[in-house]
Amino acid sequence: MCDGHGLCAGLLPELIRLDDWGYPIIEVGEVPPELVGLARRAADACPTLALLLDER
Amino acid sequence: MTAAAVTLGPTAYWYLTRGSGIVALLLLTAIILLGVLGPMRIAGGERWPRFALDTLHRDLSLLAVVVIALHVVVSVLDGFAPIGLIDGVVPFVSAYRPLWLGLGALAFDLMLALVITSLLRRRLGLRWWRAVHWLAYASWPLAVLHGLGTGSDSSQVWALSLTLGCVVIVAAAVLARIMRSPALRGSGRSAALAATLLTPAGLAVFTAVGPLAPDWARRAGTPARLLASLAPAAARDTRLKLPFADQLAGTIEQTAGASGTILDIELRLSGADSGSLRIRMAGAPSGSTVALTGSQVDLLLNAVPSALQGEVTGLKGDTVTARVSGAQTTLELTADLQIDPQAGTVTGSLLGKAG
Amino acid sequence: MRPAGLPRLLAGLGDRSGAITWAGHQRIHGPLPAISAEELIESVALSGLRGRGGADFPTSLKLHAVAAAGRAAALVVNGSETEPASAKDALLLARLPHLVLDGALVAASSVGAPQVIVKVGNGSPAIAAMGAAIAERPEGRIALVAGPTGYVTGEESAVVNFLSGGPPLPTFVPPRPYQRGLRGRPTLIQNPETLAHIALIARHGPNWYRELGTWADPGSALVTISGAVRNPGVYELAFGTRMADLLAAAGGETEPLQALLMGGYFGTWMGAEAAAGLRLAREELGGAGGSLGAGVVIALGRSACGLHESARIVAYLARQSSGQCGPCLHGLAAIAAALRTLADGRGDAETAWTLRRWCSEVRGRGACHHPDGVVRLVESTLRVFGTHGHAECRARTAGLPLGPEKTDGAEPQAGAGDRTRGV
Repeated sequence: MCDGHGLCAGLLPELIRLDDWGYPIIEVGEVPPELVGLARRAADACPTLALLLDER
Repeated sequence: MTAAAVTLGPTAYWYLTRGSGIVALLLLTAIILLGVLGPMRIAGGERWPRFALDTLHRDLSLLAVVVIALHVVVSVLDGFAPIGLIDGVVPFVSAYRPLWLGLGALAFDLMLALVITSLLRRRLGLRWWRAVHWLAYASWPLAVLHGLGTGSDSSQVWALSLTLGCVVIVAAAVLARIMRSPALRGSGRSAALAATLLTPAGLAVFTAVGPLAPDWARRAGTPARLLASLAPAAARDTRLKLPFADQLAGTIEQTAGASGTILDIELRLSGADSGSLRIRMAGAPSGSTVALTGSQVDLLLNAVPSALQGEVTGLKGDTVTARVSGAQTTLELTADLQIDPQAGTVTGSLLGKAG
Repeated sequence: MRPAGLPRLLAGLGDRSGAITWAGHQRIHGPLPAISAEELIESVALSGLRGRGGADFPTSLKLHAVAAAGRAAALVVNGSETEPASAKDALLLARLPHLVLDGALVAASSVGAPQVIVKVGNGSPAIAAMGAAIAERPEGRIALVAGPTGYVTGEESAVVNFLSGGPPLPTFVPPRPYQRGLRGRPTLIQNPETLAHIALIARHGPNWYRELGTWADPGSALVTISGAVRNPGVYELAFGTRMADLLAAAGGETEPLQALLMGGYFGTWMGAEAAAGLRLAREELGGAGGSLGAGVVIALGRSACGLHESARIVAYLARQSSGQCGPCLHGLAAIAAALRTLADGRGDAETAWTLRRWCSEVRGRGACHHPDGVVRLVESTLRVFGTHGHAECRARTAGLPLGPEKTDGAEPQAGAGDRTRGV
């Protein structure tokens, strides 16, 4: 599903960086509270809805 | 006594309608450019990251919805064309140029669908969102057609140049996107290319046989009684012989307003000239006469391309004097009226001379 | 009838070619006894049998899970065998079909699966043999299906997708097929060798199974031995066998060896000296960074070039990416190119460093484990053969086999599954 558009990395560079081919490398684990808003925005911005924020 | 309500002349709303229409077209062009070129990764990098283009695309879309809503409201308030708010969203039922106006309503409906499905994208799922978003490629040409079909400036060079510019830019962007798309190949690509090249061609052909060809207003579905005022603005009103004298016949209506009485007199001219005269007066009654607090006079003469407008300048017994002016004409009018209050009818004579 | 020692699965093959008939099969192994579902699953559990498709998953756990769910869709015999250097499944299906069918039928009954589907690759010699064997059987619920042969199409989820009428490509797991497979129901997918062992465990019991092998790794396994050995082929060996004995079984080395590829292309290289002291045991092999995988051992002689051989294999594996995930599609291609650069001696420290970085970045970022397998192979290549190759070595190919290539960027014969129905 992920097509390497890279919007997520632009919005959340603290947790997501792009590999040499434009695909995201995501730091797995808990999102720090101050970044949750940006994380939500990054998940909404994904053109293919491939990024999911687990808010449990 | 408060004055009769001061109304903006129809011309202000009319300018707003045209203005908001142009702004909407420019916005839609920008929006579709951002939508088509954004995923192509040619823009972007440090200064214009993808998510910024994406956000701009979204924000401009919301702004466009507001501008178009304004466009609809203002064109209804203008009062010139017999349209209601419903005609802004329900296509093809208006009394004024139903097809061409309806295309605008249809385009607006599609835009609303685009915006709503985008706001609910997560809930709807990607497939539905994508299906509706493809309709965006349909809504833009519809909007352009609407502009060409209903726009009063469609024959003006500046309007045509602007539209042409937008069409060329959008077509170029869509062509680039089609050529670069890895998913679109073979017959799919051919179909897409054909559609992209045929649309501007179709618009050009339409423009040539439509707005640029004679008698477009009538062919487009403008109601007959409005056609008189839509003659080309450049024509000078040289056919009117001054002074002129005509017979008058029509109706009178008296309504009680909050601040007094409102008299509404509608008259048809016959004789040497034809046309219509409308006199509206607000005031407080005094015996058999009226103490005037405000007035508006409209004169439509077949010999004069533009509507003439003005106000009452004197009231003596059954004689009303008024001064009206239009694009290149100013007239002094004298109307001798015989009023039958019971039947609500009026007859009389009109004298007009240069003012 | 109760085999003491070896051979077990390969009993009765002798020098004959061709398939063993049902009558012949029953002469060798005796009839399949009636066995209750609980008893079978218990026997398999006690035997310690683990899956032989390469994943090495405890078979009884799978059986138990599918039986417990109660809605099993089918049992699939996964005869895909897409590992190019593996031949054991082809052997079983083409020459010992009834052994596999016995295991399939008894396992299917034990989990309540109403149907058995035997899946093989298009053009496999097993098709005819299996078709004939199915026809000999009175049970009418066995189907034979032929499908594409790409490297990743043998993966469990890819098989389920293909059998469901979709593309033969892997998808995200969980849920695994034994939890949610065909038609959304639990589907038991087993390697043919695993089922062959079940067929014998059903007859002779778990204690017999454990008579060979070690306590941690009981029983026997089929191993395809190839490369620099005198008699390459499929051999049945007990777990715990020493590497020297394994090579001796295949006729011994044809030349001094520099390395062994353990587990096929989804496995890892081991230096010859390091491997010499090892035995066929999970923990021992695991400690040295390898595993038996799908039972493939390739011996690389001194005359060959490990870097070039690996570069060829990795390039093939990169081409076999299903292309669903960016990091796999792009990353493996880049990794393969970098490995070729190093093998040709044109690379430097920068190249090696970038290669290692890409390996660590690509790992785990695919929907399936294909990129992980390739990365593992590459890292073992660098460990065993170093990073400095020579262009001249390219000619010294050891001829390690590659599978069929994709045609036109698509899966070979994708969607052209030849569906031959059994009785």
